[in-house]
Amino acid sequence: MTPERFQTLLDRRGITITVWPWHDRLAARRLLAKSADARNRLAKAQAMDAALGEWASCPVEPTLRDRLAAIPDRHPVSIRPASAGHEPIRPLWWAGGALATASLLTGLVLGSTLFAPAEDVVDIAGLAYGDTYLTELSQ
Amino acid sequence: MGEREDDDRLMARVASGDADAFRQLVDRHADRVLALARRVLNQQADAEDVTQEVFTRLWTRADTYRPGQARFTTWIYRIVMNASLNTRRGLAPPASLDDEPEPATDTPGPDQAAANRQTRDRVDSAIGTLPISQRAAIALTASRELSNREAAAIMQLSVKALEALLVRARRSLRTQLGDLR
Repeated sequence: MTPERFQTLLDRRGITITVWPWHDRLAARRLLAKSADARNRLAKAQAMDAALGEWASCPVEPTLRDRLAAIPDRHPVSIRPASAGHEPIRPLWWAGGALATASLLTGLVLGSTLFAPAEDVVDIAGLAYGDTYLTELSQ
Repeated sequence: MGEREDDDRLMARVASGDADAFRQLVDRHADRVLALARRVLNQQADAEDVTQEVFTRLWTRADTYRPGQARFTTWIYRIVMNASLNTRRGLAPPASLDDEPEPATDTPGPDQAAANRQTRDRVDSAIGTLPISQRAAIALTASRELSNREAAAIMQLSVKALEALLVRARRSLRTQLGDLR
C-alpha cells in the first residue's frame, strides 16, 4: 500500500482503521509502521475528523424545542388504532392452498363433464338432481 | 438495537395519536435532525424551518413509517434530506456566515472559545464551497453515527457513489483547510 492509497482509504472509509476490511487493515498497519508520511496523513485526517465532528453538532435552542413539542396541539390528528400501519404484511399461505383446492375441484368437474362419455354425464348429474332430472332428460 | 426498538415502539404510539411518544422522539432526535439540515443548507433559520417541517410530517404521517423496511433514523434523515433539498431549490445563495447565529455550545474559556470559533468558521467556510451532494455526504458521516451504507441509503446512492463523494469532499477540504492541528 502506498501513502496515496492509504489517504484515499482514509477519505473513503474514515479514520477508524479497525473497521476496514482485513487486507486493507493489515496493509495500512504495515505502512504506518514504516512510513512517517502515512502517520502524518493519519494525524491530519484525525484532526479534520475532529473538526468535522464539532461542525456536525448543532444543539436545538429551547424556543425551537418548544415549537416542536407544540406540533401535536397545532396539528390534531384523528385517533388511529394503535397498530394502524404497523402490522407486518403476513403471507396468505391459506389463500394459496384454498385456490389450489378450488382449481383442482373445478378441473375434476370440468374434466368429467366435458370429456366423459354422455352416459357418464347423465349419471353424475343424476347424483345431484336425483330421479326427477333423469326422467326429464329421458323425455 | 435497543434504541431502534424504542424508536419503533414510539412511532407505533405516535401513529395512534400519542403526543407524549412524539415528544420523546423530539427529545431524542431533534438535535441530529437540526444538525443535518443546518449542515446541508448552511443556514440556521432555514434549518429550523426544515426541522419543524420534518417533525410535523413525523406527527401527521407516522402511519407511513414501516419498521421492517428501514431504521427509524434512516427514514427520518431521508425526510430531512428531501426537505432540505426542496428548501435549497427555493433559496438564494447562502448568506455570509457572519450573518448566521452561532449554534449553542458548551461554554469553554475565552481562549478556547475563540479558537473553537475560529476553527468552526474555517470549516464552515470551506464546507460552504462544496457542492450540496458532497456537503450532504460529509454531514451524514461526520458524526460517525451512521455507516457509509446507511448514509448511502439515506441519499439513495450506492455505497461506492457515496464514498466517491466523500473522497472528493475531503480532498477539497484538505486543500482549503490545510493543517488543522
